[in-house]
Amino acid sequence: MSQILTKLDKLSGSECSVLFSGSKPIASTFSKDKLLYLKLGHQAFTLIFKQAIKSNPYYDEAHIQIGNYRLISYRVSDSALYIALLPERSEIHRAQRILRESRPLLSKMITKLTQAPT
Amino acid sequence: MKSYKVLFIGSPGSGKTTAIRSISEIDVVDTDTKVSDSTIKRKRTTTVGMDYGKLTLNEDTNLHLYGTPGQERFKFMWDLMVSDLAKDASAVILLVDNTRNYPLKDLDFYLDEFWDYIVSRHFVIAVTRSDLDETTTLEDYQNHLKARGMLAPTIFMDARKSMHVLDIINSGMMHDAESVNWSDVAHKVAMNEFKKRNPDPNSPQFEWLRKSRPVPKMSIVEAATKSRGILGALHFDENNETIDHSLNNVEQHELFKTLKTLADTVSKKAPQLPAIGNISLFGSKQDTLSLFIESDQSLGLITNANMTHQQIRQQAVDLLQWSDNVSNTDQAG
Repeated sequence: MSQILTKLDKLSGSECSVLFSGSKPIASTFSKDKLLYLKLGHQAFTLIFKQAIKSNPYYDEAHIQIGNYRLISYRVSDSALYIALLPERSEIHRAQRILRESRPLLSKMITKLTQAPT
Repeated sequence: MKSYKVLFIGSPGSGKTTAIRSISEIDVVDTDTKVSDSTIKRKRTTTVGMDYGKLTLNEDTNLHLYGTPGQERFKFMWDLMVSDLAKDASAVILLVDNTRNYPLKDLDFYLDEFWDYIVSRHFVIAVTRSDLDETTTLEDYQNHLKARGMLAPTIFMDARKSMHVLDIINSGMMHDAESVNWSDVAHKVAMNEFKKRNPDPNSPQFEWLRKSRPVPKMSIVEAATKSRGILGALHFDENNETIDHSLNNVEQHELFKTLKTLADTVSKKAPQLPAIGNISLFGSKQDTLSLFIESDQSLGLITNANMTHQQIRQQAVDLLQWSDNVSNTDQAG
């Protein structure tokens, strides 16, 4: 499944990405040296969406800019998050368009991975 | 006939149009239009295309003066100018407004954006409005350049004074235009300035003076809400206290507070990472909520769903640069 994320990374210009189901990463292309961004991103986006929904339940995309990096997250379902790490000088608008269009694919991935026997 | 070109670049309101106007011997071809964005905090009109002026250096030599629009949303004009109109320019002059809260950030931004263009030309940094704010010194600029591994003449100047502008141009191209007698040019420029002091009320110069009179003082929240696409704004000080806001929705106000607290917590938890500069929330066909964070202030914006992140960011950057409630400017950039 990480291959799909790798393809999506290439299309969106992301350096790496991860798919969370609950608090568990079920597919990831994050390298070891970027794991802090993954951990921090997951904690922060979980809190952001939890608070944002109180103000507007239709917020389903959040960004955090840390230095030259940008973390983009999509709420794929109530319990699933997709997080991508965009490097400096990324075309943010293009990445947003591609990732938003890929949400049905990510949703399917979640269903498949969470239903697969362990 | 020899022709030389000089390109002026820099942030909105840094004085590019003023500099070209002060030295050009022809009525400047400008593309100024009424401000519809955050620039309203600073001026009534802004360049949306380009500025063009001309100065005769001697019988055989002309100098063409080009100025880019300041706003990043006109980046296509920057590309067009560096790749076509001013492709063969001898010198590039970066104007930095010293009254902006973080002028070294402007310096970095324009160095990054125009790097390939700058490195192959004579390059001069002209710092404007230092008479109003001397917090960032010439030494700060030079040290900042040194830290980036580059050297460039850096000069304080008043863009309204033609002799200052000529001095900058001279620094940028004196080695190229060796046949030019710069004393003669200085004399001519000084005489032109003298003539321009009392312009005819029907002249373009008079119209320019009318348009460029100071704008009334306003807060960045007020300026934000007068900008196209911005529906609401909130300004926090360095202690996360609200300085001013135009939000009707209490939940949005609370959400901005939560996002700022989150950013502070992340910085404490992961001090090895750079600080969070922005948190944004989007939804299909929903107004966008964005918080832009500096070390000493933050700005929250509610914007139309059709504004891109880049457009929102540019508005926020300029508003934070022009806010009046900042205690510490970011000397480190």
